[in-house]
Amino acid sequence: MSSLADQAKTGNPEALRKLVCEHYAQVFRFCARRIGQQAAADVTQEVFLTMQQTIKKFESRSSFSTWLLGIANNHCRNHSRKQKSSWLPLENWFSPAASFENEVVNTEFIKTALAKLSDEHREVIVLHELDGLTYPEIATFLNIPEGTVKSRLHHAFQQLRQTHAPKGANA
Amino acid sequence: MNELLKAYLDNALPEEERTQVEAELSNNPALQAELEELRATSAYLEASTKPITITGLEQTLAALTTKPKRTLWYRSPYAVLAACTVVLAFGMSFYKPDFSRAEVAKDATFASTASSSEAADAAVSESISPTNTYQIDQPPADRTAKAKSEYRPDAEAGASLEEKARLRAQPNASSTTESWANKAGGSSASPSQANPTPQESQSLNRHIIKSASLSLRVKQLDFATAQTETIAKQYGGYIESSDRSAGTNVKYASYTLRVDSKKFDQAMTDLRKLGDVTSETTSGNDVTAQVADTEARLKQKRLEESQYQEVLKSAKKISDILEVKDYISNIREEIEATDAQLKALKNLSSLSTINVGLEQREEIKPAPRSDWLSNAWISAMNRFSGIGRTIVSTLINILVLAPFWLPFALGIWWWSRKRNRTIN
Repeated sequence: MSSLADQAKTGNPEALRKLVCEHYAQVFRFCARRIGQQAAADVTQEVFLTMQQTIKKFESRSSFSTWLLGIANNHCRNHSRKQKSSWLPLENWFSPAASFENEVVNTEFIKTALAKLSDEHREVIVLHELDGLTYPEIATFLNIPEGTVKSRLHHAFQQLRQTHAPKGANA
Repeated sequence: MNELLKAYLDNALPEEERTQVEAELSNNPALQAELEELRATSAYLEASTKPITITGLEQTLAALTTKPKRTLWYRSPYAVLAACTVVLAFGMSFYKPDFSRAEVAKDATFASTASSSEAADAAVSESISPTNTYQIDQPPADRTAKAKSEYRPDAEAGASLEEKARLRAQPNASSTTESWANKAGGSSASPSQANPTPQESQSLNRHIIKSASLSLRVKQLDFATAQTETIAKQYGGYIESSDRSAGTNVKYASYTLRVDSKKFDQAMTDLRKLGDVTSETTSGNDVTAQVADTEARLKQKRLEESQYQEVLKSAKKISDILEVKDYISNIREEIEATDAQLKALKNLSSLSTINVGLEQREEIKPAPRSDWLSNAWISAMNRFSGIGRTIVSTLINILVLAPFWLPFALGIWWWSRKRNRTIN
């Protein structure tokens, strides 16, 4: 992957094309969760245009996809700021699964709890559970220590279960 | 322990901690239950992910291929601002009303023997801005043109005036001499009076007592004094008086030169070359009429004398002879006096007087530094202050002209910003 990025860096149009095809879906989903399906196509295009212009600045300090998602994150934030919409609105990425059958969790509770989460907690949940980023990637992405990522995820999940299961706080 | 559970679930724990958590889990059913809950929550979130249909890949690929590298200059508002500023600064330095340029134009028109219209053309071509510099250039060109057109008539008028004066003087002189010669009958009149030689008639032309005073600042006083003496001799004259004095930082020498009046202008030109002229005055006193008058009186008296001589020859009585001799000696005295007066006048007009003041000032130099270090320091500081002055004056120019360029620069900046925004 990084070799493809290196090739694209030298101005190889075929490598760039492959790179775009490879990452398009990931970036599109990332954007759609943050700004909605409607605007995602335009913003994703802008993300890749920016990538084309700035790929020479990519120094392989992080993985290419993290770098690319960083660009996408900036574009999405600019977009949502312009639209004056809230960050990571629930309706963009959460549609309660009706067929989910598990007696261990109260899905109704999780729905209401998700809406109450702080921006920070919502962000780590989306990044980890939906975008599929690893702990170190999230740490690089948000520019925070890995321990903070761990604790944020822990607290976010505790919020999703703690109230309906107070007995869980026995450890 | 349960804060490690989520990380354990995500397989993000280091080896040591993971074995710890595993050991704890096998003994603690509550922890196991929590782990299950976390897993179920994760699964629920995953299952509840809103489905997303990917669109727009083709458009993006098309946009990437059709939009190659953007030209960069207009994307940077700072580059645009800098370009505007530089252009204006350059423009300003050219649009400044430059008086040396006007001088050049004037010189050019003087030097060229072109017609006045060509001179005006030259002035226009010299100027860059027709609205600004033209007005400054135009007057000298006009003046030169006028001066040129007036010059010839003036010179002609001067020449004709001189001619007339000569014509006026000559018949008078010749008629008087002729009549006197006729009256005297050539008995006692000198040949020069009877037949005026060309030299005589030339001296009758004009008698002008020219005098000038010239102050010069020279570099080498000794050299200049030597040169002054040479000039006096060269132009058929001599040094009438000289004076030298010296003070602190300054030396003076003053000379009174007498030079041939015909070579007066040349002498002045040579003297001016000795140094920088600090002051110069020239004056002339026309004594042509006075000379003519004195000459006429002299001739009248000589005629009278000759008549008395005639009377003396025919006189018989002693008393008569004595009386006539008395008259003759009286008239002789008058003749001598008038003759001396005439000679003095002619001398004054044939040799011009030039008063030359020479002055040598010691150059006031900064105390010379012996060591190279302080020399380097001083020169560097001079250069530094020079550059500083240049920068400050440039900034002042830019600032003063801000009302002209700022709206444009802001407009371009705003436009470029807007463009950038739509791109991002």
